[in-house]
Amino acid sequence: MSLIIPKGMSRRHFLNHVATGVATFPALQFLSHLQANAQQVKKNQKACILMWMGGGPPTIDIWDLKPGSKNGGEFKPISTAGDLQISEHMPETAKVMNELSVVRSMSTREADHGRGRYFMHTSYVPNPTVVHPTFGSIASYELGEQRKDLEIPAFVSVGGPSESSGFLGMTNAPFVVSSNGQIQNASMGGVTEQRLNQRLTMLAEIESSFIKSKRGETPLSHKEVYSKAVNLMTSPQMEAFKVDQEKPEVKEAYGDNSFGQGLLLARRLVETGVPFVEVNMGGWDLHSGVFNALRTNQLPQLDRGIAALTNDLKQRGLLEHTVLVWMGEFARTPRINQDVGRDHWANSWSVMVGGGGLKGGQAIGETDADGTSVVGKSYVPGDIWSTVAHALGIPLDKVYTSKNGRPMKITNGGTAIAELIG
Amino acid sequence: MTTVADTSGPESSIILGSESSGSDSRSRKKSANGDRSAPPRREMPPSSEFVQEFTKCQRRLYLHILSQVGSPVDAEEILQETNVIIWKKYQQFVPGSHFLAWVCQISHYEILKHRERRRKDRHQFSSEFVSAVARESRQMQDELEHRRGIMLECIENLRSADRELIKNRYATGENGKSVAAKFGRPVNAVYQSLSRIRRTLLDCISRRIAAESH
Amino acid sequence: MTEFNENNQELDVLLEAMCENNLTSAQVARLEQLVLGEPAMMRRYLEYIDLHGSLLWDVGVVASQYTDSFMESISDEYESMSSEETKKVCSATVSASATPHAANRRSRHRLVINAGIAAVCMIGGAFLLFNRNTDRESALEMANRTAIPSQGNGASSELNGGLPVRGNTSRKLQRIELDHPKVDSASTSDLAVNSSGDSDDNVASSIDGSSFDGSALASRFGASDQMVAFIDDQIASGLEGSGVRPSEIADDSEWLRRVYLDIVGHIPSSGLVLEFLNDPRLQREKREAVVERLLDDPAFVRNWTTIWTNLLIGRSLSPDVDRPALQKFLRDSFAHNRPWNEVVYDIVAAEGSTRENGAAAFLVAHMNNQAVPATAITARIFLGTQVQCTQCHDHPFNDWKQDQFWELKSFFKQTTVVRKELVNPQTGETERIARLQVNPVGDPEFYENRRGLMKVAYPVFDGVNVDRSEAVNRRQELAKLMTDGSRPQLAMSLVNRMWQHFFGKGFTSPVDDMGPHNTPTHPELLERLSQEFVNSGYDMKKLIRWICLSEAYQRSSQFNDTNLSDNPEAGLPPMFSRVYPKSMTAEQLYDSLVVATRPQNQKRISWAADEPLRDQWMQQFVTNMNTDENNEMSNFEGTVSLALLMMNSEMISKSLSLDRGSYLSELLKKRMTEQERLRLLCVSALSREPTQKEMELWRKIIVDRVADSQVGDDRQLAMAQGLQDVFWAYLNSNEFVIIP
Repeated sequence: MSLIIPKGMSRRHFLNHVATGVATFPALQFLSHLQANAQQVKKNQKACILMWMGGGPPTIDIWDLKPGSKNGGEFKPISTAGDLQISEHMPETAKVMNELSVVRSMSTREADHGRGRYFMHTSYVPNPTVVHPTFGSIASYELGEQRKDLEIPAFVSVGGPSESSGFLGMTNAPFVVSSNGQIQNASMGGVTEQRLNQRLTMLAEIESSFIKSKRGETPLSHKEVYSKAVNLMTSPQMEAFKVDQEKPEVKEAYGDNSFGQGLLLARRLVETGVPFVEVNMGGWDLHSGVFNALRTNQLPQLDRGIAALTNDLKQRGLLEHTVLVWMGEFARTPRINQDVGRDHWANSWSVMVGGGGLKGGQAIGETDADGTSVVGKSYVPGDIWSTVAHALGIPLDKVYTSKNGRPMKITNGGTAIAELIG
Repeated sequence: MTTVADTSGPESSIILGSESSGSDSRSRKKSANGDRSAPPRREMPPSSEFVQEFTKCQRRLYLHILSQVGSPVDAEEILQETNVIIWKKYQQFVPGSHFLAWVCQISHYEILKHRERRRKDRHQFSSEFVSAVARESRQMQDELEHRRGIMLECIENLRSADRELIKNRYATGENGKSVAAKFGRPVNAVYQSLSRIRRTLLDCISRRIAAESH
Repeated sequence: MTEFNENNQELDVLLEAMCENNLTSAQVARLEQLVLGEPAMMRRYLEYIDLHGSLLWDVGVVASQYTDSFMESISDEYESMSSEETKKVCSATVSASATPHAANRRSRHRLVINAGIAAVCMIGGAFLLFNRNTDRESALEMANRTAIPSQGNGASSELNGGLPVRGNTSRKLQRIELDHPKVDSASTSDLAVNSSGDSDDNVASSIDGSSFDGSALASRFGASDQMVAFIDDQIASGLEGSGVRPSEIADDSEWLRRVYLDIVGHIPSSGLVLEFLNDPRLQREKREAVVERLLDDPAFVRNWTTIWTNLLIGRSLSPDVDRPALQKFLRDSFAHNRPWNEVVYDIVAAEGSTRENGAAAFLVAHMNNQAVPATAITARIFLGTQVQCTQCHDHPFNDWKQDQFWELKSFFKQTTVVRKELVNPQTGETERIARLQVNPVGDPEFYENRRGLMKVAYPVFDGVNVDRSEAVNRRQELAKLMTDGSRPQLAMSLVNRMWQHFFGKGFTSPVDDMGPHNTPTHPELLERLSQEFVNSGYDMKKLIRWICLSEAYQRSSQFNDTNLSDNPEAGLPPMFSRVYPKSMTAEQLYDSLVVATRPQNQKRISWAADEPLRDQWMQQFVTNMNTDENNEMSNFEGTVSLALLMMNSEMISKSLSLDRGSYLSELLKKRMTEQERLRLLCVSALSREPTQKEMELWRKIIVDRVADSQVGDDRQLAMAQGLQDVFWAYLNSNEFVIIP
């Protein structure tokens, strides 16, 4: 229960009343927030958009090219608006690289998809006795609950499931939507408010006695998630999901593909006050035919999406408050295999970070001439998330206690990257 | 022993030569990469005896290297570099000869190279120390191997809390400091516990060996 | 001597600092001085650093309670690399033993183990390793003892101070296996429910049924009783000294709901609930009868087909995966209760097109990416071990695990999937048919280890080298090795999974990552159950019977005052002093809604017609990760999306429909009081009687509403809507989706 804080005079408040057994309830009170909460969302609310590259992107072909090396592959580097070079197939992004930085010295050890996903999302390696929260859930827990006027979930994952909220509970779990923003079953259909009201009253009666039946936390969590769902389906902020309302030229700029539309949706959500949005792009597990896939499909979408999002946020004055992170579960081998593919590689790779007041235009850290190892200091996901936490104003020294009583540092003791937080 | 010198000599010098021209160990890895990207030569895979010997020697080889460099991270790195060479030279290994001696010899060159790269590190052992330890470590190999077997029994006899601490300390990527943080204990207290447990283990091993010989 | 001691101490301090990487350069110099100054110091140095390094090497990779046995096995591995030495050990063992019979058995055992020493962490390495552990122990043991009981369950534990040590239990396992001639699985393949053909003909011990009806019935299932009693003994002994008392026996409603969802995958209908609650027989008797009935229910076949289809090929639909074919194969298998090892054999050794042989659909689905998924999923699902994780830890040991993966993968080397367009003779339409083809090749797998070294892997399973020649069908060999009963992995993995299915937690967590790094909570129970499962001829129904009739399974999921610590939800190891609540799977929810809203007059549910609909409906919760391991993730349990679905979806509005023939309209037609109708809604949804408080609240709301309505028709509608709303609330409740 400690994880849930009533947000304004919204339905959550209502549900709490209901739980005490009030039998009838004026319909108006239930939906009165519609007007009350129509206030403007404050512009300086911090947020993070995570671009998740499922399958493991070949960063050696995107952010840290190795021309002249046997591992270099088919692409050439080009200069950018920042103080670094990136792939020739990222021309639009190159123009905004003054806003974005690349950390080229990631070394993360986990090169199995599942373990890598977990490690990069949570800063911790998998452990059978505890499930660590993905960083989106941490942001939801730390920032979502402060935002009393936020009625939609504080952690939205677009086009993919993200990872578990772990011991932060289902109320901080990712709300998963597809990139078109359509939310299944969000409409109440023909049911009047009064009836919904009474249904919820009845529901509360059944739920609270089951919660009291000493069966652990799941029954309570069920109730909390229901209050979130009711919040969502009755909120005017549902508008944020309606990507279709964007002008055609805006949609066009982001690219007519699920990643581009997902980023556009992310911008709308951030504008509405959602502190963490994860946007998924798949198709990176390129064990064969890597260059062809990158050239014809992956990089054009990626390039367009990143550039459009960066420009759009900038134009709206949001970039300064919105951290952009780009990563996958790991990257791909510098060596090109016999199928012209690259296999899993966690030893030396890149993550892109920008916006949110972080210093852009830099390459941080480096790999050796063949890209096979990091030269000098290397970074782990905890360092990236510490940097993000710093930008979001989440205190790093915060320690959670997991259910089995184990203290848990917010980013596994990582430190913010000095060059980024400047 | 002559086998060892014959087989490892020439190629090592080639590699050392390439290193002096400015490339580091990674470039050797790369050239190994290059070899591998060609289809494997199927007519001559390493013999299964070789594979077995290779597998079998790894831990002892690691410990041999560790005793000379002191740092587990460095030892692992050198082990990896040594393995690259071992694998490249498998055809030079004469079946039936002393495999461990052969690989220790290879590791010798790799340690030299590693020390060369790190020559500015003031925490490095002197070469006098390294060669003395290498000699002694080779001579004590069988005995150390025996001690290790007994160590396993001794670990079983530890108090469970001690066993837990050791397990945590030696889990991948951990060290005394991180374990202290994890257990919420002062770092020094953890150091003390660890040193006590390691001494307990050493005592236990020695006691058992003494008992065996009676 | 004192100087030596002082130096010794000083050296130790320096070595300590060195181990923790805290040595200053001055200290390095001092260390050298000491070590070079005196041979004894040199010894100390080497012993110390060797200990440090050995700990790093041995512990680093596993970091678990199994460390000991794991390290043991590694040491054994090195010892036994040389067969000379092995012979020495064996002959020494024989001569040291007072019971040649036992010694023989052990040395044979050891020889088998040595055959496969090249890869350390074989598939199912865990079990292999346990057994090796046994050897070392037994050698020690024999030195101390003059006689070893040829069979004895309790005798061995005292040797280890009463602690359940893996070695002991596996020794026991070994004994059972050797003392009982193996049951020919073919002969027991079609055991009827009432089979009395148990291999174990010992006198059935009586159940301590103190809190469960207090009667040990002369059951039809002689050996079942014995296994049931063994389960309860083991759970009870696990609780000894912990201060934990097991939870109360669950009331009939809770138990009935659970056993239905667990065995047949849906809630019981209201009629069956009322019949059971009013059944005057003894609790044990009537519960036994329910278990028997459910094992024969057609929904049993559907449920286990669903479970295994999802495990084997996931939930996401793909045109390249012949889901119906696999479903049909599994349906046939479960309908005839075929021995599990035979089912697995058919799947692993499958050939031909999926149309002719549904078992082939599993491999057809996973032969992509050069059989990486086929290898990983075969090991994970059937053997409960994860081999695909070849780069998880930055540690040299992982290479051995990687070896295992490639050795297993080389069994799939001869297999290719051929896809063809064929005309279906029945429909006349063109269909894409995939077939598994076996090509006579004798190649090994070539691969790069993590350090970029090229290595070679031949088909090796659990230490057995398989003939590499082209003529040998490797997958058939693999299937034989996996299923011939001499290796416990297949059975252990299944038992562990089944235990988790019924109790909510397995003996290991997760169930499909067993091994030296993951200690089972009740090793003896796991091993005995596994062995008896093998002895039963891999009889799934028998295993389910043992579990469902155990007292442990009769208990409530509610905590009592003493067992709050038995809480796996909080990351604590399960003690099974209660049954843990589970969340319904999407399929359970779907089927339960069908059952809850089935009109009373509709007797049979046509599950077969429903199957494709349900598979389609599932897609909204599944994301295919499109990775080389065919991973998928589902987004269902406890999510906002599920809440929205339960509140607003079309499926729910259909369930609440008042149209002719619907559940509610039929209910409204019945001659009964409103109270009776409300009561039935509760029984239908939650398998229990409504509480008084609920009834009061419902009546109040409905009465108010009806009172607000003016005319008769409106009143009737208000009444009907009231029922709808009550039903909505029950179906949306936590109590509905949480399996008690």
